[in-house]
Amino acid sequence: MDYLIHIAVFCCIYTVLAESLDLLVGHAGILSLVHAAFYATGAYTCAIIAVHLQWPFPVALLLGCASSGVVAFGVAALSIRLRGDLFVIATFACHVVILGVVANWIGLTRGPLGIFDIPHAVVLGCSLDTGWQYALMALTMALLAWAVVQLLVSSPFGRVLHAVREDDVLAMALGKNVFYFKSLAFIVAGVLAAGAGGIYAHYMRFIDPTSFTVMESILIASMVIIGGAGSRWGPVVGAVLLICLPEVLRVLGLPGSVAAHLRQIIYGVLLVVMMRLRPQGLVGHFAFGR
Amino acid sequence: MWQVLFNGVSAGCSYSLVAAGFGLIYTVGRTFHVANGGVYVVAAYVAYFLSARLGLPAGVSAAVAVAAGAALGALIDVFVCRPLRLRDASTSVQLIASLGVLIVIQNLVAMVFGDTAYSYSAGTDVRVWSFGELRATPVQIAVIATSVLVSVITGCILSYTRWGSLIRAVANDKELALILGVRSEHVILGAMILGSVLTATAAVLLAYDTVLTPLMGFDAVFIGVVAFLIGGPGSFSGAWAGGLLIGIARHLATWWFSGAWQDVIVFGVLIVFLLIRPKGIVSAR
Repeated sequence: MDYLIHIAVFCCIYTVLAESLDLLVGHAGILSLVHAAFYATGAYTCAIIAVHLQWPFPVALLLGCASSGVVAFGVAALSIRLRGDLFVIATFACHVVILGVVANWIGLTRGPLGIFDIPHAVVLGCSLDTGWQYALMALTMALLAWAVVQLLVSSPFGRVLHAVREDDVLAMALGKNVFYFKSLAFIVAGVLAAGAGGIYAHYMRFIDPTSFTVMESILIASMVIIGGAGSRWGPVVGAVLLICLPEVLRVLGLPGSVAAHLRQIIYGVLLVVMMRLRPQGLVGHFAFGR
Repeated sequence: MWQVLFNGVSAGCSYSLVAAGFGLIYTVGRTFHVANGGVYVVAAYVAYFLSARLGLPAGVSAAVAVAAGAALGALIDVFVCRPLRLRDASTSVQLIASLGVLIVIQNLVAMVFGDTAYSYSAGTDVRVWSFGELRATPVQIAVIATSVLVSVITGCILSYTRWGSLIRAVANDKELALILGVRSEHVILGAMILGSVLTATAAVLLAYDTVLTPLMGFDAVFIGVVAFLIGGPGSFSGAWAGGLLIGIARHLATWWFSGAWQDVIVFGVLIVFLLIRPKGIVSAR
């Protein structure tokens, strides 16, 4: 049972990440590979505040979201004007730089050693120390992220994003400040991803840079694309599928090192097959990046 | 100091080859072909396996490894890239499919050979030649010499042969080349193979110089991409300028700070270039 709850928590955490990235990939039409860096910013801010300052969890979570928003603003300011492949590579570069700082700022993040013994989160005077409670909190966060994205997308802001996705030159010609809207979407996505990071840090009670590598960014992007970018349920489907699929390998009883690689191979094959056969994703309708 | 610079140049030569191979594929096929990292890692492991495990001479195993890399590049093009091109898929779709191929190949290699790092240096001699204060291993000299030689040959192929002019024609305007009766898919396949040969050569050279890990493909291709973008997309000399700059920057970063900051420096330089000089050092157009 604990095992199932553990998987449920991860499904919810990755739903938050995939849903927030979908705001960029699916709705604004820009593929970003920096998402795990926002996840890391949230996780590290929460962990450092909890371990060193012992401030209450909600405050830490808000600060984590805020700092991630600032980081997202920086990344957007650097990269948002680039187009196509160059934008993807620029976000990739930003990810490497941010993670490099996290891994090498030993005084603050303890570098490769990671931060351990992170205390349990206390919400509304109740200390979360069972998997159930974390699953509930993660589910709330996932619902919140889903609702925020759906609300934004159906608002006038979302319609501008869609216009930018379909034809950004046309949107610009109609007087929309394309870079402003893209940057705003970037910041919102970064803030939401940091929420997932905060929950992850308190749930695992240990974080180190290896949890937030570039592969993690690629994994989140794969969830969005395989599930269906820009659709209501696509990112949720993608996140749940890509979290649960590897667990089947565990049931088959393969040794750990083989299973880890087989998992990556499955992700890779899925990506190639989806791009060839169904670029709009499993439940999507919008063919990603036409 | 001079020693650090020399080591940087030696590493930079192999980066230049990767950058040139990547650039060739990018300018001709219009694909951001990161799957080249798969070619890189396979070629390096084939070279290692043939010479260290089976005891074949270094020259033979290098040749086989480069051929294997070229064949893999051709397979990737035929089974993944070409169908996407024919469907007029966007560059993002091609990039993601390419990334998928890279992930698959890398992990297949890791499953077959294990995660442990192999080092070839046990097999080669460890003589050191001194030039004044400068010390160079035979491998470093070989890296520089081979890189220059391979680049010159490739440059001649591109400039003076019929096949080379076809490649340049497709790179310039694919539609126009098609109208004039050039079978552009064949030409792109040829460019893909040539690019793979360049990448595989770099991989084999590096396999004799440093350690092999399955993840090396990922690192190599992104260093190549950075060198290509910094140097100036679309030109051979640009790839060389970018490769050498990155090689020297990495070694200076290790010397001044520590090895941990290498990647941060490389990608930091890329961000700066994208911001202030997106056309690269040597701008073609």
